[in-house]
Amino acid sequence: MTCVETAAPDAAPAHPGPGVQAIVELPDDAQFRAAVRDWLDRALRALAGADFGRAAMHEMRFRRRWEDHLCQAGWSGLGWPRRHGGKELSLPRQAIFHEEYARLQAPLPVNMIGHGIVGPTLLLYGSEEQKQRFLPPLLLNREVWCQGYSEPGAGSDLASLTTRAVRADRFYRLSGQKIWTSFANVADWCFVLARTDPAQKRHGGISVLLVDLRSPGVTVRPIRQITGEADYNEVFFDDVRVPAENLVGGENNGWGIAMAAAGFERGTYFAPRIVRLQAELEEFVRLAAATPFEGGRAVDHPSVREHLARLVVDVHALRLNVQEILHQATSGTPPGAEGSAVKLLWSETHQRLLDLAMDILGPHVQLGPQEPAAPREGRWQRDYLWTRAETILAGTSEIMRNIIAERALGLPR
Amino acid sequence: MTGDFAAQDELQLLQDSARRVLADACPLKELSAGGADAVAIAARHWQLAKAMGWPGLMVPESAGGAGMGCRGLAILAEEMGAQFFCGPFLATAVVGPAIAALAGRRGRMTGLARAIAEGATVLAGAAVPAGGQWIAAAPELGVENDAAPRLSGTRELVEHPALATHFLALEIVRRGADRVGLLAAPVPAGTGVVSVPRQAFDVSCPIASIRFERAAVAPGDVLSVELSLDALTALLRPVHVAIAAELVGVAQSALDRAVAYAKERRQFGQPIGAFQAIKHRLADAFVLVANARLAVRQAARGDDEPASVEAARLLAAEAALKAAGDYIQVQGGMGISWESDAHLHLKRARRLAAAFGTSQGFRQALVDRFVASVLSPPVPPVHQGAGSA
Ligand SMILES: Cc1cc2nc3c(=O)[nH]c(=O)nc-3n(C[C@H](O)[C@H](O)[C@H](O)COP(=O)(O)OP(=O)(O)OC[C@H]3O[C@@H](n4cnc5c(N)ncnc54)[C@H](O)[C@@H]3O)c2cc1C
Repeated sequence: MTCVETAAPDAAPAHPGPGVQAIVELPDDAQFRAAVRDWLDRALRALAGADFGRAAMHEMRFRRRWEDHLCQAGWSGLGWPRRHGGKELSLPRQAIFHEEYARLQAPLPVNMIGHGIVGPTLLLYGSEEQKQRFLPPLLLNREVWCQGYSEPGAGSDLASLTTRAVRADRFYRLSGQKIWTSFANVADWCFVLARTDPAQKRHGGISVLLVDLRSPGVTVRPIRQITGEADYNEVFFDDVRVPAENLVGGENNGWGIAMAAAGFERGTYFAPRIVRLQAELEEFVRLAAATPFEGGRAVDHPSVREHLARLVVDVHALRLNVQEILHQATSGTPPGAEGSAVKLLWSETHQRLLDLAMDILGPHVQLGPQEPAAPREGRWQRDYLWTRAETILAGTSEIMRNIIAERALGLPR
Repeated sequence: MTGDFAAQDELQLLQDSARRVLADACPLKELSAGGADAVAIAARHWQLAKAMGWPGLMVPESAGGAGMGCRGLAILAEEMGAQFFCGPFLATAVVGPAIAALAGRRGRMTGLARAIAEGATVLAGAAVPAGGQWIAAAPELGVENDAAPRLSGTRELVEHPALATHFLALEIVRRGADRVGLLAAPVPAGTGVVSVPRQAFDVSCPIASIRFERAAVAPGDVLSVELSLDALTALLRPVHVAIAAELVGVAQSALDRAVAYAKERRQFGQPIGAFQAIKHRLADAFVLVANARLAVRQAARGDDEPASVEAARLLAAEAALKAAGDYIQVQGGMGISWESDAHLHLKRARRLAAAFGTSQGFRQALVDRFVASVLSPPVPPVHQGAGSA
């Protein structure tokens, strides 16, 4: 493939304090939380050095270094069974880890598809050989994954995808184009949805293939985003040979697997996002207190306070939703439409928060998203632009509303 | 843990029984048919409430009540909202016991809670001054002679006056930035109490203006105290929980009925519920109602979450007003008719949303507290350990 940016694994910096295994074995949740917080804080400060808390900490290179460091120290496979190298943490404890991670405002992971989607999918649907081959490097973050679902002609209507995989002896020959594939430019592998039986319409005839992005015939072309960064990509498959043993869960079973995979992080997906949202809301208040605005401070302006109240209430509601989902997931209640409701509310609330931040920045909005002289080194501008993506990725707001109306309210399709 | 399960069972029982009897008594058809007598409906519902023991829900067991607490209250009030219960539940079963508890600690109103639980005393809340401000700038009620007290002044928007054995005169007056004065007295209906009926916006809830003309109050039944605003909020938490829960019930009822209508009504050859504009409107209402219910349950649990009461009131009011408005819109011309029960939802939502505080007031309190907590976070306790520099 073209355009691979591999970060050399760094020598792990020292982080005094208890080891991961000792923390995992702490009997009490509150102790566990405190130990996780302490561990993460020390480790991130040690690794980031002078960049701690700065914008540089959120750039791709550092994100990858930090994630490698965490995984190699043992913070991976948190919910996986022990015999596959996992930590077998309960859902509430996994949520605690992710919350503490978010509270520290630690850099976002790079390999979220690998850890959140590919690992759990292989544990459930993978062959023994697939587990042996792919899980150990994933635990150490030695292989980064991306998710090849969307195509130029198949976005919200994913089932209309046309990338073809034709069985030829011990291979599939894969041809087609994926688009908006996040992290393909830094990934080693791609979790691909492809059509294996064109005779079957829509949801039938789709399979999951694990595709090595270094295979001949793969081209990855980064797409520049509105933030100026280029984290998502076009991925072209031009008659790529994919070994038949890289088919997951049987031919033409891909749709069901993809749908199940979307639910794997139920219970823990939103917890860190809401913690980050709460932290950003507090950050906003500090910004508003320091920003002169219409003859006073922005934080005192009645219109700002009105919008702020709405945000406080929505973040409160989101927190309660996350507790509820975690509770339901822990007690094994089958999922309803609540994931869609939380995705919708979270993405739209986050968008409103950044809208409000831009409102009060006044003429400073002219500073670009990578401008060090801008407030928070341009992070308000950058996040403002990014929040526009959140109402689109992982199912647009319109699709979320359709799902709620059809599944929760039973309205006709 | 077992205690929690037992409590959970008790709550489930309360919900099941309330749902059953209230569904049978639901007055929506009667009210939308026109000509229904709201006083008669309320009298019927109050008999039902007494038979179920609901007046004593919040009265401690030691005074003959059920000692249920806010979690049970939230469940019952939501069912009441969903089935349009009529009657002086809020004043009698929620405000009354809260005031009685406060007064009891000062040796006043000692028999009130028990009389409420027994069904002997029925209260109509008389809390709104002429100016309409729930927390008033200056006092309007006057009490003479503490040994044989007599109360004078007016109160507006008194709900269910016809069923009351007593009017619970209540006055909250602002004193400085964060304190209030509270005056409360249960005034027996009869001599010295003049009730002037007013046309009610919410036709399921009769109202009157009340004039106290040197009305006699039992000695020991007048409470006059000064409280911090925080203490007032704590005192009124059950009241806010009940109002918010009832709003959630109204919202759920409006949403359910709007959805049912959208599945039935056909235009352009398909059910209108297949149109995305209708779907998305109702999906948004669904999210809001679900959030409001979570917020009310949280406020009812009373964990140390300072935002909870205000957030519950705000979300519940918004959910009910939106769902009721959506219900009307989804019904088209039918939604504007008296014959549809949609307007009953909107009217009840409006009445409840303005009870014991406005959304604007809750929003302000919420934001003030949040901003203060961020900009001047509480100082962590100083470490006292030996050798700290
Ligand atoms: C930052 C970012 C990262 C992404 N990363 C990945 C990735 O890693 N892997 C991957 O496979 N994909 C990824 N995606 C793609 C994402 O899943 C799609 O963008 C999304 O599903 C929408 O598809 P689309 O872009 O084709 O828009 P379309 O489906 O064409 O939608 C365009 C507009 O039409 C509306 N619309 C479409 N259908 C309906 C309907 N039935 N009812 C009402 N409105 C409708 C949509 O809501 C939207 O407003 C990413 C997207 C973004 C923005």
